[in-house]
Amino acid sequence: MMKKMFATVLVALALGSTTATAASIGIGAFGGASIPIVNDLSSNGSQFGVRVPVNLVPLLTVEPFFATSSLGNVEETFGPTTFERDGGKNTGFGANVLFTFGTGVQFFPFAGIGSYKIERDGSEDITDIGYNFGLGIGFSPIPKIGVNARGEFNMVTTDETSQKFANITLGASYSLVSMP
Amino acid sequence: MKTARWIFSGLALAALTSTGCVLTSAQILASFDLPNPFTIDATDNMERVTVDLNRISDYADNKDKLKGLSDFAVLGTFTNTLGPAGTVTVYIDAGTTNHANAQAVINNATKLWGPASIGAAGSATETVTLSWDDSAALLDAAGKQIVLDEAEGDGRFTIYTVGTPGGTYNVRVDDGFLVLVLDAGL
Repeated sequence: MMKKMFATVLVALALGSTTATAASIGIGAFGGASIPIVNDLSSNGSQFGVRVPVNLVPLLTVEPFFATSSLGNVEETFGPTTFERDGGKNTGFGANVLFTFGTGVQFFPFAGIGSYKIERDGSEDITDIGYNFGLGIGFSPIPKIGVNARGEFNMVTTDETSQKFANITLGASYSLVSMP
Repeated sequence: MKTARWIFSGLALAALTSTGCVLTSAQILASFDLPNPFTIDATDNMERVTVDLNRISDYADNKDKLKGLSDFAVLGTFTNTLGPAGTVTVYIDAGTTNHANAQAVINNATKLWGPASIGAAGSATETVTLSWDDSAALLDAAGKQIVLDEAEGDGRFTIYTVGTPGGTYNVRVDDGFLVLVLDAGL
């Protein structure tokens, strides 16, 4: 069910990109912090990744991405001994849709869907669908180069529950192709 | 912009309909103290412990919202005070049971955790304190399901720590804990 939904949304994004007039294609990298939310299994870690922003029409950008987070270990004391649990790693790929407002400095709420894999030493890997929502701000200091900052809520569904992360990242992109 | 609205609405709808209340879920750490110390010896080759998760406040507070079990480990210090190198394995029964010996446990209960290896008495490895990661890796899927079923039920089950079948040994377990990470709604 979840895979069908994921495929349907990706197809919708692909159809959207083919029926619209493409304006530009770029490539970007980003990095920042990944903060687990109400999760005793992980602590704060770092996140890095790449994005391929495809500007379809004014105000709308579809952005395939790959992201990987190394989450911090958790320490707990039981009896006289302090034990450490691997915080795990969250890796995902998918696509976000950005709605861009403003000229010069731009604000862009975004939403997306992806396939995520959560790995932790001593546990079975979890592979499932995740959803992203967030808000970004960006500007272009020089032609073809853009920089941005984003706050993102990432929720990876795991059966009847989910693992959630707040990601705060800084990124830069380069415009590879630009068409009128 | 109609396409944009459709895509945004689709993503939001997909997220809400497929996740339900998962948006307000959490991973909550809870631990259960085992008797300190307890000993597995060749008299019956096992030690029985009845577990009542209701004694854990984090469990009792979230019992009605429990959705799953993210992580499970047996932590403690295992010391072999008599005999050759061997293993320790933990079995589980739903509810309260009382098997007569280790063979009855192996025949009737479900493996939950292990086996963890321990060195011969007097050797450098006679005392073992497994890391949390190593212990979590010894969890057995069938036993985990019983823990989850019982946690979603009345929270009571019986565990048996069993030594090497047929061996002559005495394994003391100090500061033993069952450590669970519960998936629960908020």
